[in-house]
Amino acid sequence: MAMQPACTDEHDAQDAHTHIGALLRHPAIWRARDRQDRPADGHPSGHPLLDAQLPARGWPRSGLVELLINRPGIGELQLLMPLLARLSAEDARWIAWIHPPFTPYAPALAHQRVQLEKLLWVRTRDDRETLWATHQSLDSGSCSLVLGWSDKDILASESRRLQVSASDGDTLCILFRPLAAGRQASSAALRLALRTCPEGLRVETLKCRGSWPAQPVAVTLPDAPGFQPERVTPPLPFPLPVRGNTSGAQQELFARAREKTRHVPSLPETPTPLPVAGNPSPGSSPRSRAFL
Amino acid sequence: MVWLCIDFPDLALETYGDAPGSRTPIVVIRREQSRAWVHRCNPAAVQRGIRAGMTVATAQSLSHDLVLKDRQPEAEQKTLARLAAWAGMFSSHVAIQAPTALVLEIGSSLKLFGGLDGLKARLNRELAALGYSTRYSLGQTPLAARHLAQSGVHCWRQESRVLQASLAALPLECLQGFPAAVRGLHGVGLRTIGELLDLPMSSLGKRWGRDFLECLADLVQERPARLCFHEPPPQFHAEVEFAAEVTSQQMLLFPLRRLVTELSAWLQVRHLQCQRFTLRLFHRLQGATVIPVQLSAPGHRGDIFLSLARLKLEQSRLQAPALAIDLQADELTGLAAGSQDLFQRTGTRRHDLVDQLNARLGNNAATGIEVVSEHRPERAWRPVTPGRAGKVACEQVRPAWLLPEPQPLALRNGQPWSGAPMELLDGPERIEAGWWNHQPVHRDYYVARRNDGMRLWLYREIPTGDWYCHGYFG
Repeated sequence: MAMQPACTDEHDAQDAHTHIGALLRHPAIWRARDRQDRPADGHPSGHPLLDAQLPARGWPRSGLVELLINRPGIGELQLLMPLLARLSAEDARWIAWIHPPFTPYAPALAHQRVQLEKLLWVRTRDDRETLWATHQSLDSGSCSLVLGWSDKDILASESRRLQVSASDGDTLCILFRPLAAGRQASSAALRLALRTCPEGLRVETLKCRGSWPAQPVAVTLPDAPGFQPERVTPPLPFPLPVRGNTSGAQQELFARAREKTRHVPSLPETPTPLPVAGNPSPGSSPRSRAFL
Repeated sequence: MVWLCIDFPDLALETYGDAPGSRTPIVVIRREQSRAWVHRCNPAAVQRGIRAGMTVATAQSLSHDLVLKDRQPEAEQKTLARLAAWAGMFSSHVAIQAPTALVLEIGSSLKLFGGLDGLKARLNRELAALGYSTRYSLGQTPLAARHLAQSGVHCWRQESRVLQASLAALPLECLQGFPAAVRGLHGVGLRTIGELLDLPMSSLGKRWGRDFLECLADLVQERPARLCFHEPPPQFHAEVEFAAEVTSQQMLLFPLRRLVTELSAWLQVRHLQCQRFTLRLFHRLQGATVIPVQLSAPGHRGDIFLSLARLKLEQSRLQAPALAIDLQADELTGLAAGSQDLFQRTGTRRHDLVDQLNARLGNNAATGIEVVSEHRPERAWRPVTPGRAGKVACEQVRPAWLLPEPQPLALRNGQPWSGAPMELLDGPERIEAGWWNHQPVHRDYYVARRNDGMRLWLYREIPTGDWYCHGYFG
């Protein structure tokens, strides 16, 4: 059957009455020219450059998203902080952290206005349990966001199941995987590779359902020391060993430490030997003796 | 009034908690005239040609691996009492008709269940969850309903004309308590109850006695005063014994479903909720395996109980074959007003997820976190019950990832080294605290950037000058 490319409105009108038209209205089918018409219903990521690249103009509301990182701690949570703060404030459901690599530090999250009472930290013992807990959280429909960390390979069938569960449960599932996983096929609706760069993070779109991969963008991460470009310029000198001579640079450091110290009203010019952490002998410090 | 009778014909067999699909042939025997007879047998035994009414010797000749169990009238009555409590969800008037039947006044509940069709759908669903074989029928009086059900007539109309016609069509043999009368009436050519009821009562009374007349009166007149209605007990404890030893967890699911369904119905009837229940598996030679099941919020839904109990059961390995299982509801609270609030539906479902995760992954596998107002970084947070985190603001800039233990860093050229060159971006922030409870901390914290782009949170122990990495600005 010869098919005419449908390019104009008249063709659209004809399409609507043909089988092709019925097929094209299926929600799983998208045409590149429809990209502008898609609803921008995503959660704003807080990073305008990144939003502009994503088809939903932000993080999708549901489905599977893969973030590929070479190691945790490069700023991947900073990227998600606006999303965490927004979902925890607006959605009554949990934000589940399944088997994070380190302790999610409550003061840092509170500082970024994440509502901690929505947080659910799930500890698992092996990959099987991690996968089970992820599925359980997605299937329950009682999570707005599920964050999962996986070191092992995830089979294509597994990622397909995760994608389906996440869509059905109206939950966004963000899976952190190693960069090498980018070469494997995945059913994720969105796959981003994250790498460090002087501004913060370089975000490269590997796969983007309903759109095409765009140029990598550099995302500036707010509110983290050293991420702002203007503060990158002069690195501080390393302080000298404690028992050595106090140089000019170190004098300056001590002066700065005095300004920053909140818990001790005054500090002697040179650090006096204080009790070592983990040595709980009472009265070893003059201050504690005075208290007791 | 309309009466519903539910009969459990295989109660003697089904009091034992073996799954109907069990491949072991099981026979429940009754002893009469110094001989043992097959009373009931399970499908596996039927497959081998065994039928109710055979002598046990015949049955044993048909199958060598037969499990023989005596009838346990007491256990049967306990089971029936639990079923009566379960039936409380359909009617507030439930009476036990020993040995195998329950009668319920159902006319006043019809509107609640959306008429007879709605009631039947619900009844079938609930009965399927319990897993007993049943037959049931409506009737104009409790006794009529019972005779209809036990004769296998499924009458499901509430018009009295239809109910009377169904009763009239029953054979005389269903009047089992009066064999002599039935024989005599057969002799004069009577075959059905209808023909009997057409005769003048006075002459029947003269011939067959007062008890016979009372029985006929119960058939046609409603006399609820003659029934003893069942009150559900104040505590829930149910035990199910197995005829054949249970060796796999899969086979425990059937009795488990039955127990939690009964528990859920009992809770609803008593207007209670349960936060904790205990399963115990009894073995032949060793102590019982105790499996406590804890919910994070009180509930009464059977499906949630079942999924939690299943997860718990899968966690604990079956150490020895189980002979019996019992379930006891421990922490009961009244059904608080508003606990079934439509608008709090997400709230209860949120906790269902926590319960499921904890049941499978171990208690405290799923927690929340909260900020503690404390200067020492490792003590500035703590795990809490999910959803209970307090609101404490935090002003300082802190890394999003904290290492479980500070990681000591080697020195290279007098500078800390963590696998790659680093430069300091920010600091120092001095933290001195904890001397008052003998866990002092004297540290200068710095933010460092490694040349691969990672931001680290370092500190230097002031007294010793040792460097540690305490977190990542993830």
